[in-house]
Amino acid sequence: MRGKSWIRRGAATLSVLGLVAAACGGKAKAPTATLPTATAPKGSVYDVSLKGICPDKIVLQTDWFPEPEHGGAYNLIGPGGTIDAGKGTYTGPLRNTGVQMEIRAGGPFIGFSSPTAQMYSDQNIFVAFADTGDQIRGYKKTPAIGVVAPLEIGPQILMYDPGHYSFTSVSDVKASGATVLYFESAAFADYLVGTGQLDQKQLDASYDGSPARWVASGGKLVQQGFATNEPFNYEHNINGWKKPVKFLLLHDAGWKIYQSNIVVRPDSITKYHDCLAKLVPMWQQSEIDYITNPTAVNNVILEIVKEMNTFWVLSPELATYADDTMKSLNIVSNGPDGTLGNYDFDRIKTFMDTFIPIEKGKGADIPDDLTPEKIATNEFIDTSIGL
Amino acid sequence: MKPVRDDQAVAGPVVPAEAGPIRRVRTRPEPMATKRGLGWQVLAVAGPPIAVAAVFVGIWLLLSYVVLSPTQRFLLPPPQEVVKVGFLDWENLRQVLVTGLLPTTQVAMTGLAIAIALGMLWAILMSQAAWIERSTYPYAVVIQTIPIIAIVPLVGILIGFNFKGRVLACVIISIFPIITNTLFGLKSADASLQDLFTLHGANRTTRLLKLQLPAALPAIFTGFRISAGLSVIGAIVGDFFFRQGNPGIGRLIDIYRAQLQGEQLITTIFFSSLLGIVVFWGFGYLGNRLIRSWHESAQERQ
Amino acid sequence: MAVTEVRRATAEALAFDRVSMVFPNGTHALQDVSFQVDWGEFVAVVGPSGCGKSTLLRIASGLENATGGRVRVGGANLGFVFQDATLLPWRTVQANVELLGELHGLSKGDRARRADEAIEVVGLTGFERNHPKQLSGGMRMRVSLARTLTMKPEVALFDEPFGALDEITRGRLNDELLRLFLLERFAGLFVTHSIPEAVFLAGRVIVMSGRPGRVLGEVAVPFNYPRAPEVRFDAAFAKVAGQVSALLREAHA
Repeated sequence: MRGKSWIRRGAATLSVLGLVAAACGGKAKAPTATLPTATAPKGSVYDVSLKGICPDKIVLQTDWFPEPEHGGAYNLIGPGGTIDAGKGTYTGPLRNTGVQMEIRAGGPFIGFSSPTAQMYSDQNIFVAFADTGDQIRGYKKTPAIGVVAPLEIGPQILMYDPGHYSFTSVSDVKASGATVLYFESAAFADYLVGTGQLDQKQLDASYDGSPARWVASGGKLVQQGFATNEPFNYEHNINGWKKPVKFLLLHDAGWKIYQSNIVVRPDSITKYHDCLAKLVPMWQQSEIDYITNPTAVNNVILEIVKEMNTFWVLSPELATYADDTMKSLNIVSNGPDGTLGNYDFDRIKTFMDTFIPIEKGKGADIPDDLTPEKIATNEFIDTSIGL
Repeated sequence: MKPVRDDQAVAGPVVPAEAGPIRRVRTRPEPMATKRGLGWQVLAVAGPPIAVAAVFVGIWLLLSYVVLSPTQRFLLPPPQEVVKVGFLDWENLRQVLVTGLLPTTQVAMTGLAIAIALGMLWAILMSQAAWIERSTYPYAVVIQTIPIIAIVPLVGILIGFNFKGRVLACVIISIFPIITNTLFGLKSADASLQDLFTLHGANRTTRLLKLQLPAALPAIFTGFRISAGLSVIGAIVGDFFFRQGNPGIGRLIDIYRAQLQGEQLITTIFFSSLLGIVVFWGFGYLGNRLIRSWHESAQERQ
Repeated sequence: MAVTEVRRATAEALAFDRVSMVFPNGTHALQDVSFQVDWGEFVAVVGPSGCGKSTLLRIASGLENATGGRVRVGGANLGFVFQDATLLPWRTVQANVELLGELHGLSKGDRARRADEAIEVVGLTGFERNHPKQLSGGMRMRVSLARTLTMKPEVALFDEPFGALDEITRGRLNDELLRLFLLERFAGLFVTHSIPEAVFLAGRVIVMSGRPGRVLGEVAVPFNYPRAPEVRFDAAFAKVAGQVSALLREAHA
């Protein structure tokens, strides 16, 4: 079962801003920290001391079980950390920086609440995963500011059976009238209906993460999933199916959120300014190092998942497939410029312009003066770091 | 003066078992049981349940083979598959029992014990003063109706997403019958008995311990039996929402759902039901023994 | 036995002085009831249903407070025998009889001794370990009497205790009660709506009217104690019963 969406639903998949205006190539703010230029060897980004400027233990709250999409974070600790399968944590020294890092699994481990909410109720949490849409929806009560976005494109998909359908866009799904199965609070559904790409009548919000309905329907459903998981899983692992599936990226339908971007509480921006100035470039580099050489970190992730012994099951083949997909679909990529992990404020703005009215129509309380700059910042980004 | 005895009593004075059964005049010959033998007796007792079970299995097979198509059969595997894969495969069975039933039983029993302690205490307090009942009983009703899913984040943060959270979910789900049945029992002590205690200067505690609680035992045990099944459900619900540590059957259900392992899913359901039945029966037996001497509900049927 | 040795502080054992009772819901149960019961005297009260007889007993025992008038009860120990046996169904006969001793804080040994005595006196020896469920109605009532006896009451109130029993058992228990009365010599106030029962048991029969209950009159019963069961069929008995009956008819008139 791919339940990640279940979690992310709380965060509500963000409607990614569409089409980054290619002409502008995005507006990235110039970094304020003075960091080594691109000529410096990559390893030097990690060789700084964070002691005293960062919390002694940097705690990251993720949104699901450990998975390859989180590889960049786990790469910061690397192999050799301590696994606590009961609590769902992986702890170890953050490279040679002199501080510890603890990565906490989300999803069932936190009662399916959102990582941002956890970050507020447990002040020990320094950074958390969030989706742009959730940041917008939760801005009034739990404002969170993104400091780096390891994933350029969100991996969320609508998957379908090529034996029954052939779709080139989400609007084709609307035309077919097929039932679209999704998690109740996945906000992308309302977005797709609001933008006229799906019909309200074809939505079925009762997805529980299990493949049962897909298999029982013989592939007549269109179902939400993740490009990095379901296609491989359904083709190779799910009894009663074991056939290829095809999919449409939600990003292409305008749902251009920054998925699982790293956010902090607003006061951390000032309080831990020097920390973030060193940590963010490290994180950028870590994502690059991971996707270039994922094996060691994947082994860590596989080990943790195995010890957790739940319905969330990963295999080396699945991890490889996830990494390949992240590369081939540009899920992990520089985007329109040469930097990995920075934010395109035009993209966020375009997304907001469509997303916010739809949400307000549902009664969400979103301040009128919300701008992209309030939920994301490039000030710590090292623009020289890219794939 | 010689004490006067009443005529033949309904039951004679209590005598040791060796002295023989109650004296009763035989008015008709021994029933046919001795003639036809043990076989018929066994058939009479065991026959109906076996017949109903056979019907049950028949309906199951019908659903599995006729109603469901082959691709859908994983939703309800036929009984023999369940037995083969779920029970006869030791690895599978071990997984269900050790990683599922055992942790869930721990949560259910802990939750039930706490529910009984708190529930009875609350009911006793309410029975002592009308104003306490009036102002707090509605909250007991509210507790029963709270959807666990709505309070998961709050509970998780205050108490933990682990064993303690699971136990709390279990307590919330199973406490209401304890409260309401205990209160009902405490209040139904006979009015004349209450007068008797008043007349002879009994204080609150004496009245509670010597009159109200014994009188309430049948109702109290009814509450226990109802909560027995609820505590199992509560533990499994707790598993779903509070996953840290060592959750039980709830986690297994998720695993089997994800892999479409219908046989093991049904095996799991079997054992969780069994747990509920055992606790239910256990309380019934215990309650019966305690009230057998004086309450109609515990009479052995002839 | 014990009763004759106790120093009495008051002249009568029990005295009602213009007792009235109006319940909160407006029911006027008793009006200006005055009479007394002397030490060692057995008095019966008869009257139609609903005339407040039970209320009178409840006021005397302290379970209710009169809204008018006063009641004086002499002596420390008051016994009350209810309409039904009021046994604790989960206790054995022995434990039931010991109950009052428990409530009054008597020692274990003392309780047991008194209970054994009382059980023997009412003729239930051998049934100590039975539960009320196993006993007939008459036997349960005898357990109730035994229980009352354990506290050696100086004043005993009886609220139609034998009303639920059949005629034969009732007759037996009447004989029984008289025997106990003569043994213990408590002052007894016995409420009933059976004229023969009242006349058989009491030295005086007080007749009350219907609601609101007033004392209509008194009939003295001229038979000496101990009374044989056959006295019921005596011509003089019928005459006294007739007098009581006549008074009662006035109540309905």
